[in-house]
Amino acid sequence: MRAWRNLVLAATAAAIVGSLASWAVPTRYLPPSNKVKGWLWRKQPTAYSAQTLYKYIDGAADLYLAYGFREATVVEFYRGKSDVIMLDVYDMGRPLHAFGIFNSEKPAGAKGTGIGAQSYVSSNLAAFWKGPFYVKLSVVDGKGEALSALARAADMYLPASAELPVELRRLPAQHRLRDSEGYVKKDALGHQFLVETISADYQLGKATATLYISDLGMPPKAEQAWGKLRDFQAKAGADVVDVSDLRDEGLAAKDSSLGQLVASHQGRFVIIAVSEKASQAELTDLVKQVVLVREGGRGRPLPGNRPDRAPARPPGNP
Amino acid sequence: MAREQDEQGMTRRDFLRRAAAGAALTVGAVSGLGKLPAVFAGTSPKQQTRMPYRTLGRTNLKVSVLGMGTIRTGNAAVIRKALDLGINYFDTAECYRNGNGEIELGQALKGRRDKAVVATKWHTNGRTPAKDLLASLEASLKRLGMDHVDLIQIHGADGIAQVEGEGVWEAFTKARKDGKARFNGFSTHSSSDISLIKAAIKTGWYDAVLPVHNALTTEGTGPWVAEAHKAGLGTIIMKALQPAHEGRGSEAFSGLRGSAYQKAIQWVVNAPNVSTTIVDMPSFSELEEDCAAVTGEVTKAELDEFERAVDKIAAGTCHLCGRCTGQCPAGVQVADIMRFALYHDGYGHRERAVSLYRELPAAAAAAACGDCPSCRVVCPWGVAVKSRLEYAHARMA
Repeated sequence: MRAWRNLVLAATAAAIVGSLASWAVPTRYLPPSNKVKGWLWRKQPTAYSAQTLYKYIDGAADLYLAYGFREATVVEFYRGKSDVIMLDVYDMGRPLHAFGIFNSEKPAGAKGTGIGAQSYVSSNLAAFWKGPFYVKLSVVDGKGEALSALARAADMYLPASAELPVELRRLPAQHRLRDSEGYVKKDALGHQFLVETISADYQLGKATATLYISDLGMPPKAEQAWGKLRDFQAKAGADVVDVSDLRDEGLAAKDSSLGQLVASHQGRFVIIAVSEKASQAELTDLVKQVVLVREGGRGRPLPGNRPDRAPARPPGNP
Repeated sequence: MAREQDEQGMTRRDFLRRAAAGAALTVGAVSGLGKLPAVFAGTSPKQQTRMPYRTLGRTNLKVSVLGMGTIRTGNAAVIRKALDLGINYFDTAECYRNGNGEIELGQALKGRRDKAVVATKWHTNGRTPAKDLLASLEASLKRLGMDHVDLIQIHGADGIAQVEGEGVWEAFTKARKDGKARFNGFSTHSSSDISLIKAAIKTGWYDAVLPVHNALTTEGTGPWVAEAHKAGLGTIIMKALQPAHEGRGSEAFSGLRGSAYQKAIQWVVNAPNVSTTIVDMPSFSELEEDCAAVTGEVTKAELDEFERAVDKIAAGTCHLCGRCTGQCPAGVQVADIMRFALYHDGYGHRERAVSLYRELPAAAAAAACGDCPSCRVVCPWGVAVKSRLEYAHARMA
């Protein structure tokens, strides 16, 4: 009995060690050669780190690094003599980061295709994100009819959930425009102090407005950012007034570039609504809909808001 | 690369304010840093604009010495503020954020198009037919919401075949005739390859170039820029901030007045053969900082000090200065191999690098190093030549 138990333990240990070892191999995230019939790997995949990403995508690396890029795995698929498609899998560390970079590169009006959490496919490019992974497939030579099939195959090998980032639940649902959600890691509205910002567009009567929620991590930082926002508006010549019926502090300003702006801060968050046409009252109502008290920096974070959460274990590579 | 807050959480804007205050106390208000707070204090655009302008080569366009890149910058308010501050040169490309860079730039410039010089890019592999280039330009114009761009450039022309590609001239001629692009140029990361600019000049097709050039690369890129300028081409510089990025956190930059980013920009635009430099400035604070760099004064002593700081961080890095040429008694072409290694590792042009390396005669390749017990080649920048050659051979042979 003991020998049998030891054997089971040894086998379990070997499996764990094996899975950990394979976790370190980036090819685990890639559909194998010929998974999509006729499409073969040209050569072994290449990995790029934050230090070497420039060597692959040059200046665009700045954008990826700004979204928390960790590692890229790249493989070239070919079929016959003339068809070549490059598959890039970027590990962005967190679903929110993958969502952010996907959105920043998504062409306006692109339609989803049901791959990953969100996706689009054009004649020469397919892209999707799932969990912390951002995936791009681009036609290097030939035609792109296999883009969807290769993208679906890539989707199968990513060990992650296809759910939207939980942080987006902070955005009020009422009047929110479909597929308008976004995320920027820094420089929201051009302000270096507004980081980790989710956003969405809203239909307020005939006017549209954009709502931004910046997560500063802790209340003192939010207060600091709030102060900088107020200073900026005042120095830019905006007519800044206090809005008393908002939680914590509120302000309204007529910004020369953005139009009407209403802002507030709650706990570790700064909330800003802007619109060219909506009134101060409409924007104030929108800001009021944001309720973040339980996440005020002292409470529990949302499940997906833990920094740099490790992704789930990958499946075996058949 | 994004610019960061320091460990104490002090933003560079905070730092600049302090630096500016310190400068005023110690050396007097000789720098534009001293006027930083006024720039954003709600003064009118006319009052704020002290931006220097230069002529963009034979295009005769007047461009601000500081231009704006749009790889990361797309916020309309920041772009409009840049216009207010006198920046009139805007660089974009069809592939920046998959076309969104063009869309956002176009939206931000709406109603003020006539105040801006707009450049975008098209891709060619040297065999791309003119109709494909024109379709690319048409798509760019649609995204920009403009009827023309001022400059259309080949994106990343790193080989002579690209700048001599037949389709380019045909496409540009048609685009100009149709009023869709006024001038023709190319961007390149191979701006230490003097044969590339000579070939481009020889075609007579180009009005401006967009090369890499900064205090770190100047040994290789300086002559390239000079050659372009001498031929009457506008010189638009990218990667001006590279020394500041590479030296981030280094003690070498700690004694500079102002930030290393400002000094890096000042160093580039101080050269009279530079028309403008493009910098991504996604936030108001970076915009403010970079505008202050070019609207203020800078002394030669400050730039000398910056160069000395760059030399410190550059130790061990190949500058493509070519001083290793002819040093190897066995005839190994060290300078060429270093350049190919940079193509391979630095620019990611692996196939081209491997191809060039394999074209070297056997005696000139690094395999010939095998019998030498020690390397006699001395690099003034401290590159460990023998190990670098061995590494290059392993990657490219």
